[in-house]
Amino acid sequence: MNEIEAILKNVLPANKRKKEITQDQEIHDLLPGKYIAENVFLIEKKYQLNSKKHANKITKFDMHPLLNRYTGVKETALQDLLFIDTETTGLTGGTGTYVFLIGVGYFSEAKFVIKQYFLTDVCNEKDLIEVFAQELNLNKIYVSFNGKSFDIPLLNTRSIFHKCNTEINCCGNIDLLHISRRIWKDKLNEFSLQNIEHHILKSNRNREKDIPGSAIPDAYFNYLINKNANEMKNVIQHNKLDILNLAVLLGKMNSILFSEDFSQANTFQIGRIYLQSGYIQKAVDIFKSILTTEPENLPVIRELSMIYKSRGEFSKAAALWEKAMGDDELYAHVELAKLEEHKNKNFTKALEFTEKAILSYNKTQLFDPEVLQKLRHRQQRILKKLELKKEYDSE
Amino acid sequence: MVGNEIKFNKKVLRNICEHRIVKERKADLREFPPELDRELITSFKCKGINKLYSHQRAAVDAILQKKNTVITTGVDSGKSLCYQIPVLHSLQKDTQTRALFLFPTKALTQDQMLKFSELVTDLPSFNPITGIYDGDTSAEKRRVIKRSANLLFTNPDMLHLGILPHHTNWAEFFKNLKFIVIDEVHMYRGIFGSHFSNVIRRLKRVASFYSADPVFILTSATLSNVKDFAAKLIETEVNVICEDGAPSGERHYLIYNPPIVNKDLGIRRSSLMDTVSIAADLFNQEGQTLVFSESRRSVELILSYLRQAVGNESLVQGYRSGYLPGDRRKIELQFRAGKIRTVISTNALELGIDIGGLDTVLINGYPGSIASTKQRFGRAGRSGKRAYCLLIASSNLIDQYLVKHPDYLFSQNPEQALIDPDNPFILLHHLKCALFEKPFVTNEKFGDLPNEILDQYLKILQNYDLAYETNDKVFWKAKSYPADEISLRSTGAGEFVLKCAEKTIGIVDENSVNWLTHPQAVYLHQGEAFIVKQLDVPNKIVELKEHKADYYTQALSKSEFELLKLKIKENAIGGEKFYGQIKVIDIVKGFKKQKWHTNEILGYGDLDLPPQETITYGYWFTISEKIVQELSETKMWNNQQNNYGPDWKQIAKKVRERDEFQCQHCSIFENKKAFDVHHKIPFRQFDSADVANKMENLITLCTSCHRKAERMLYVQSGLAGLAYLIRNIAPFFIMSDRNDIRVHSSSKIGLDTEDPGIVIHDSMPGGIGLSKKLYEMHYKLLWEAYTIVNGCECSCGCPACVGPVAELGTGAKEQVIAIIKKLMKNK
Repeated sequence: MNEIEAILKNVLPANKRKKEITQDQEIHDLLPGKYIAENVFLIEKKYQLNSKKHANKITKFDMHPLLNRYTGVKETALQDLLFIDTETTGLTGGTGTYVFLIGVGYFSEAKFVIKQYFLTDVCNEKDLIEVFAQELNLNKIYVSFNGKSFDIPLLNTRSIFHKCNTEINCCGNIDLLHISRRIWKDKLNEFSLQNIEHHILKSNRNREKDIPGSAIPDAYFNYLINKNANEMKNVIQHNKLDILNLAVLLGKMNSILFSEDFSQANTFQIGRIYLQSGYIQKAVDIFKSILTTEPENLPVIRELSMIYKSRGEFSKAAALWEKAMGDDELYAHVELAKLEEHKNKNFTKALEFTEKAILSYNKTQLFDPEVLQKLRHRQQRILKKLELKKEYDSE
Repeated sequence: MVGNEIKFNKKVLRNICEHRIVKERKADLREFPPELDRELITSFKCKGINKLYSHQRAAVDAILQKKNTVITTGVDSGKSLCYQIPVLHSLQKDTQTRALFLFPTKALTQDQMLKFSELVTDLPSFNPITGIYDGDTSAEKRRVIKRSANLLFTNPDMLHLGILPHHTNWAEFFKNLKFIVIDEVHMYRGIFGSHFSNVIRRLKRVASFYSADPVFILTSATLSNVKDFAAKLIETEVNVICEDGAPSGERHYLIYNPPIVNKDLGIRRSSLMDTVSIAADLFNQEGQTLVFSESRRSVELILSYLRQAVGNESLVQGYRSGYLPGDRRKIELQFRAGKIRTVISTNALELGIDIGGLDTVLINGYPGSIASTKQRFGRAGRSGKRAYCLLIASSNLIDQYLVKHPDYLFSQNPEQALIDPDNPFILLHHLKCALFEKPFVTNEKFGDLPNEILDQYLKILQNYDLAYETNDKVFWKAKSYPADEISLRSTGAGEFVLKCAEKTIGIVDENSVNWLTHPQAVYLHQGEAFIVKQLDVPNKIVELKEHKADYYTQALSKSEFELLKLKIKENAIGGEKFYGQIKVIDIVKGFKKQKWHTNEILGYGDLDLPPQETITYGYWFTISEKIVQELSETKMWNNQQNNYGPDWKQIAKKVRERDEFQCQHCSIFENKKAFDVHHKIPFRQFDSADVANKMENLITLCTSCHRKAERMLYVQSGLAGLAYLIRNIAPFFIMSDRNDIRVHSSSKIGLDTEDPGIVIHDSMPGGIGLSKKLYEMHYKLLWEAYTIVNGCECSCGCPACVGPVAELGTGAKEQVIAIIKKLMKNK
């Protein structure tokens, strides 16, 4: 131990590195594939569609227009989709996180093709990025799981970092994590791809062989030092399953939307997706259908009433607000007060609703002085209007 | 207030011990540089800036020539314009220009960005995009700022944590980076500065990755070593601009020393109460006054006393961290508009924030550095009017030292800001961050760090599995985000979290935990007192509770030293002096409770804590045996004979019997003449004779051994007094916090010497160069210590010189003087 090491001993890791003595087993000894650039190994596999051989059957599907609208991508054919998943040396992001495996999948005629680009030494990451960019950057729409905030920005970071000329741009990005969170809200406790696989797709990985995502960075570091690719085989398998499942998951989402059977999903959230994507009448239909079975569903009442309000259908809106008022919904009091004050000019009623709103605020646990301040302000204003009206009436 | 002249009443005048008047100074004006963008000049003239002050012109000229520049003119001398002009000039020529502005605090960042924004509105051809990037910036804004901000305002922490590790997101910014402006660089000293210097190393490394070669522009308060300090901080030559061409009204500087109320103990009247009465007087004369006080609590006290004294609430306001930002803005605004007469503030108003010029600034107690005293004084003064600046001294040693050396405040600032970017702990962390940002290639430099040292660190990181070498490059090899692991405000040598009511309020370094935050310790944090409820070693948590009692604690520790590497050993007058790497083994055995202000000892407590080892750098000096002998011969005994009590004779006999009439040191037996009975802990340190004369404290010694023991004791109390002096005065010259260095006295320090002496060492593991600097100042340090103790008005030692009498006995003051005299040339 040298002088500096001695001083630093408290802040250095407890153990020094030990090189394991194992037989070198490079990736090409274990998996079929070829080197397409220095230290970049390509593994390619084609799956027959509708095959019975695989637990996860890949089938062709059509894209529901709602998903296109919601994710902001143009009308899509199945061939335009590129399913993508990367494996990296860290989950924190930043310039010290490297990409060592880029896996992609796409439909090609009667087959689903998976290509996996594996980096056998970090010093050639630039080659990996360039090869990937050249081969697959053509007008594709990426389908990923959390790729919007992780995989795609990371690939861009690596591209800038290596001063590559090609940018990892894409025509659009369908992030299945975000959509899953909406469709199965409250139906799942955790939105990891594995959990969705288990509960929604009803397929299970071979858990013994599968490597958990959090263990992947260290596994790769070990491989760099020890040059034993056995564990990498599992990582590559993990990545491949992720990509297959992306395709299956997207198929499942589309089939739910086309079938309009939302029994296993969160119907309210699907209604909101329609609403946010601009299909207002469809959203109204969905909300109304929920109310037929659950007339007291307050969030639905609120959404629906606000649609009516924005469409100018005040009497329909007011009916819903009055319903919600029974449950002491603050917004319903406020909306009714607004309606009476500005639209119906019934200041006495407006005052009554405002005062009820104040009472309702005091009953809630909500602490937002601004809300209260606004209500008091409204109260004062209505009082003045009442005063004026009285004067006017007496004259 | 008549004619802007303040009249102090007689009671105040009597205690004014220094009054300097600096005459009004006219502005030294220059034209804009001819090469400057014409439209830019026109736009400045439209805003009322017709000419530049001489220092602004000199700065602009230098920066336009791409010279790295540090501007160190007075507070309010228009330092900002020195960098604003060249940046705007460059922007007019190239709209892609980017500039980075670093400020030490968030509040200052806000203020400066607003000012800059005002300046760039309606620029002739191009309006640059400005943006603040800090913890409060929304995600939406961040995206825009990363992509397109020309002028980026941020702080070192954010640069370290958020920008550099994600530099690819800032690629456009770095490619076009032309200027790096670092405001108030004197703030970057000690540990914070040592970190910051490494952040600069990383910044330069990233900039060069994008082929940028920015000019550095620094501003600083005056320091005695500003050129060297700035050059060390950014590791490049800097051009210093210090001739101030800004105008200034007549300025009055006064030091007020509260009168002594207890001469024996050297206690003065409370500076806080006198601050209140002076502030009340000024209030009644209708002058606008800003009062500074160190702690948040003292601000609140002054606020409430002053409101009572003047019978007005609304015209007197407090200002400190903890107030809501909106309230603070309101106070700033109203103060600027003259709607508030007096504001009492912590250092929150020291830097930058625009509150306009005031009539008077009062500072309650020396704030810990001359630079910040001057900065605070600079808040007084507006054109054509007199400004009054008062320092109200407390009874602390350093305040009283300034009372005697007012020149330090008014002319030459003796302070040196010190940093050591190569401290192993700090360096290691930043090398991890640098590695994360970009792999190291063979022979790559990291600032001025020698390559062989860099290689050693990279090897260590590889050995511990944090780095990986392949193809002549060293890569970061961990899934973590290293910038998260270290705060720029802490040492990084391992730390404990300070918690109060479940809330984290700060951190304390692992190596200081035992003596600063042992169980029952009173711990001071930002001037507030807390008591340690629990020291949770396994979880590294110190649980605190607010503490309102009137005492503080001091750990009683025994320190042993081990020499690891002697770097320098030299003869000094009366002994030797040394500098080297040492291991300090601290054992905290207990603590004592002492009363604030009087330092009266209220009690003791025992502790059972494991020893702690720190490897750091130290400076130590010794007193040769010959000098010890000389000292003891001239003044062997204290002037005052101790009265050992009526039963002394019987007690002494009992002790001799117990010890079988044998000297317990050299083992010879009594022969005719009775041997002496010696107090192991000196008699005068006890309140009662009964306790002092307990059998355990007594021991039989022969005359010769007794003399040796007493001699050692004599030297020891003298040395302890000297250590007290050095502990208090040294931070003054090296701009450090009192806890940044530690000072011990010992009859046998055992670091390559057998002699008694004093050890001064960096408390930070690995050191940050403080003790090295003090080693170089050996004689200066002794001389300053001498002037303090020799000039002190107390009779036999007080907190303002050698320490409270209660601790060292009545002879310490003379002993210290005698010792120092032997260690210096005759002056």
